[in-house]
Formats: sequence, structure tokens, C-alpha cells
Amino acid sequence: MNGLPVLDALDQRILGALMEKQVTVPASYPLSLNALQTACNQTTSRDPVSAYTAQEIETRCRELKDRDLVRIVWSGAGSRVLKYHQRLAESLDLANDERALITLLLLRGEQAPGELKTRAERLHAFGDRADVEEVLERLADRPEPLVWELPRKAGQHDLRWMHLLGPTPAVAESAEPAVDRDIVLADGADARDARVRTSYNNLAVAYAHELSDELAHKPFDRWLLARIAQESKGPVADIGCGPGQTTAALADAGAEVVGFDFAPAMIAQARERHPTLTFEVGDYGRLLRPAQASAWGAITAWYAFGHLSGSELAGVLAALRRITAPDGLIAFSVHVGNAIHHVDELFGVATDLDFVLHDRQDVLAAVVAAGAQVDEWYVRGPGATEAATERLYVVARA
Amino acid sequence: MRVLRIGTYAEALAASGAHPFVRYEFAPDAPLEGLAHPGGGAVALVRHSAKRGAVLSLIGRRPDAQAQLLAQPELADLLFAEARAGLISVPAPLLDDLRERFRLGPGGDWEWMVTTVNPPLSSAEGRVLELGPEWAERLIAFLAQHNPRTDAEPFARAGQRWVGVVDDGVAGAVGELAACGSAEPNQGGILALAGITVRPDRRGEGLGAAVTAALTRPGVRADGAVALGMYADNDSARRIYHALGYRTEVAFASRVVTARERRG
Repeated sequence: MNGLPVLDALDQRILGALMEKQVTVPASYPLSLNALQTACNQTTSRDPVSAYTAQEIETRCRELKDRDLVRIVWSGAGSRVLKYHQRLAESLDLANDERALITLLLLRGEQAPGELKTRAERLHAFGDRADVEEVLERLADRPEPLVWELPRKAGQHDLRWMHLLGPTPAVAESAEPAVDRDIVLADGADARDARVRTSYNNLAVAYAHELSDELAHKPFDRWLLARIAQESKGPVADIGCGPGQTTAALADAGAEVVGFDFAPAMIAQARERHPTLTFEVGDYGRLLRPAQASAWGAITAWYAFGHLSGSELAGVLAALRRITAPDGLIAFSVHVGNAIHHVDELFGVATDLDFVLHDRQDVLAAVVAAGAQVDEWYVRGPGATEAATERLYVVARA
Repeated sequence: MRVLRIGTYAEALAASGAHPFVRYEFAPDAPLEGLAHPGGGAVALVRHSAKRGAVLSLIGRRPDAQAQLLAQPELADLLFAEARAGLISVPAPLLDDLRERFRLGPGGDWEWMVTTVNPPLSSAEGRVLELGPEWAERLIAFLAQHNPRTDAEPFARAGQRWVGVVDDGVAGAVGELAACGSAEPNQGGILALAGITVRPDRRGEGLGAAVTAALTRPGVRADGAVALGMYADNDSARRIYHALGYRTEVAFASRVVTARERRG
């Protein structure tokens, strides 16, 4: 064989899904495009969970066909439905036990032998963990090794293994210079909070002047806020509300809403612009339950986490989840990317602000780590009047 | 007033003030039948819809010019060229002018929208499946039950793409449709969406947005624009389409009109 194929994330997902379904549901294999899409985007047994479109998968399958890694077949005589069959196991000459482990490593990234044994149940019956380790070593001892044992990290009991068929998510991240988002905490969270509060207090008038009407040009945000307002079964807390534009949109859509911001000058602007609505000075890290109900029906945080490190998200979300009603919603938006932008002047006002672009998968993982469930997410590019960043919107259920 | 005759796409586009409805709903290379206000800003063009046949569409950038064009005898001649009853679409603010001029039959109020931007990617889009012609009967029944006013006719013509979200079936069986929608090339050569429908018990999950985005994305990439028409009373659909980047370019009142003029 002339070297191992190099598979990117979508290649790995397609081939892994085909290898899995070939064993677990042989009656419906090869898979139709629809079945393959469902298999790729499954919310169980996949890491990360994905939302590949049928078109992306179809295009990629044609490329994999040209690389002899997928065969495209018609399903029976006279049928119009194309079906997809993987050839990776064949081209790598994998035994059944090897194939089971490669399938899992393709679908879920690096894992420990114990995890692999449990998860392989429907693919191959391993006797115990030692059996798994033996197969991994066999794969690692090939002339062209297929797997690799990762160096042990501090505090880690089990050694973890990865495949060598292409960048796994973890390796891909370290390949590009990862931004250290914890740098915003270099002198501690309190010092950071003080800088952010001072900056927004100074900014409040100019900020309100520039951005009070911003939702007029943001139909996506209006739509999502209105949906949250309509679906919430109790009062809504709009945290990091600034001069109150999102609070007003929620109120317009029928929500009983309170806007919170930890910069008093922002709350003054919000009260002046929306005199019929309720605003309170408050730090969302210390937000309490509502006065008139046992919990919030929904909490919205529109671009409120832009000065947090990624490592703080799970904790903040967990605290919010505790004061949200069971099955209540936490909806938020963040800028995503791989950078921190320091801004020392905004709308003509001196500031000392670090705007953190969060990692999409890390944000979704933080929701899960906070004990909430991701109901929906959206990624959109910037509008004509917006900063040139991608934006992630998450609707999570507490 | 001396009404101008229009015979080409380029004339129509110029006389309408480059209105996107003209740009995207008519074929650049096909002969075209219509009238134009001599001062510009208003055209009346015969548009052929697969479902409704010929419709005279009044459009432009100047409401006063549109009202004047509506009053011209040449417009009535064009409207009733082939039948005593004609079908006309006018911008909604001109409905009273239309009523002044003709006796009105049934019709509908709708918005024509277009987008030229990539819609947001959503988690629910990963659940949108391609539906082949074997789904035609189920789609027809689904639309009849949940979206009876739609113009969509599943697989009635070649070139339609249908997608949908399907419930998880029990024991490997195919589940029920939860949402659907279609895209089909229009006369202007871009995709037009139709039949976007979500089963009532599955509303509020973002499925309509996911179906719309899945249909829109390839059209924007291939043709630069995607169009759709929507009944004007459907506020929640409007919010979704606008959220995904569609703009309402014109709100139409469409009516069957009879040949006998009410006045004059």
C-alpha cells in the first residue's frame, strides 16, 4: 500500500459511519444518502456532534469514490436510489476486531481502552480490556502504524489512543496556534471584571447611541429572541442587556422580562430609552431567582460572554441553569473564532477590553458540562453592518 | 398618456427601475409581453406561472406611475387578451385602484421575497433529508392536511427538489413527515421555494428554518439568489424567512378580475 489515506473530519465521519452501520444494521447496508446523513449526524456515539448537510456529504462521497475509499452503487435493478459502501476496511486489510476499534476512533476521536471495550459492544465482542489493548498494539506495530498511544496527561489514569488516518479534532486544534483564552484571567477574574465594568460605564452613552437600534438590521436575532419569549413559561432574565435593545425585543414579543447589566451607566441608558421596562444593576455571575416566581422561565445572554475565557463558560452556564426552571431555556450568542481582540477605543471612547472569540465545539461542550442540553444551535456570518466574525447562537434546555 | 410596449427582458428591467421581481422572475433570453409607463417606474408584464397560467403583474419603483398605468385601456386589453376573466397582481397599496377599475373576484395577498446571502447553518439542518419521488404521495397528503393553500405540487414537474424532516420510525420503519419544503427553478432561472410546511406539533423547534436554509444554501451558491412567495397573513413564516436573509421586495394583491369595467 502506498501510504495511509489522510482523512479530514468529514471523511472520517462518513467512513466511520459506514463502517459502523455495515456491522450494526447489515440489512439496510449499503446506506442511502439520507441514511448516511442520519448516521453521520447522530447525536449518540459521535464526537463532536455534527450537522453535515446532505449536499456536503454527497459531494464528499464522490471525492472519496475517486480515492477508491467509497463505492457508489445502485440499490437493485431499476432503482433510482444511489447507495454508499465503504472500502476503507478492505484497503487497510482490517480484521474484525481491528475494524471495530478503528470505527470507534474515527467516530469519537481519542479514547481509552476501557471506553473502547464498552463502546465496541455492538461491533465486536472483546473479552476484556486487555483484549482491546492487544489489538491496539497490533495496529500500532504495523509497518505503517494505524494507531498511537497518547502521552499520559497529569491526573489521567487511562492511556488514550488515537488513529493515524488524519487529524483528529484534538490534534487539529494543536496544529494551528491555539489562542490562549485564559489570558483574560491573567490578573484574576475580579481585575478583569473591574476593567470590563469601567469600560462599559465609560462607553454607555456612545454605545447606546450606536447600538440601541441595532436589532432593526438583525432579523435573525429578532426571530430567535421572539421565539424564546413565546416559548418561555415564566419570567425572562436578559443578562448583559446593555442599553436594553434585546430586553425590548423580548418584551415586544410578549415576555415578562427584566434586563440586567453590571455597568450602572448602561442600566441608566436602558431605563432612559425604555422607561416602561424593568432594568436592574446586577452581575450575572451572582444572579438570583426572580422575585415573583420560583425560577426564570428563560435566561437570554446576547453577546454577554465576550469577555469570558472559554474555561469560565461551563461554570457560568451551570450557575444560570440552577436558577432556570426545569425545562426552561438558556439562549445565548457569542462570537466564534480563534482569536482575542484587544480594543482600546470604541465609538471614540477609551476602553480596556479583550473581546474573546470562542471555540464553537468548546461552547457546545460547556453547555453539556453545565448539565444543560443543546436543543438548537445556529452559526451565521456577519451582516453588512456587523463586525466580521462568525456568530454562534445556542438554545439550551436547563 | 402614450403607453409603451415592452418586448424584451432588458426593456422590462430598465422600465421597472431594475426591480428584483423583474430581474429574478423573468427569463433574460425569452420574448416578453408587457407595457411600460412612458415616464418610467412602472411596468405591467405577463408572467407565466406553472400552477396558475398567465398573470399580469404590475410592478415598479413609482406608485403614482403604477396607478396611472393601471388606468390605461391598453392594460385591460392585455389583461383580457385571451379570456374575459384575467388574473392580475398589483402592489398591495394599489388594491383600491384596482377595485375602482375592475370587478374583483377571488384572490390572495402575498409577499415576494428574495435572498442573496448564505443562510445561517443550524443544528436542525443535519436532520433534513432528501426526499425522492417515492415520497410524492405522502408529501401531497401532508401538504393537503397542514398547508392546504400552498402552490407546491410535489414532483408534478421535473427539476423539483424536495427535502424534509422525518420522525424516527419504530423498529426500523420509516417515520412520519414532520416538515418538508421544495425548490424548483423559476422562469428567471433561479430556485423558487414552495411548500415549506411544519406539522403543528413540531413547530417551535427550528425545523422550518432548517428546511428553508437547506433549500436556500445551494441556490445562493449556484445562482446568486433564491426567491419565494408567502401569504401575507403568515407572520411567523415571514419572521423565519427574514431571519434567514430573505427580503420582502413587494407585497402583492392578486385577484381574478372580470372584463366588464366598473366605471368609465
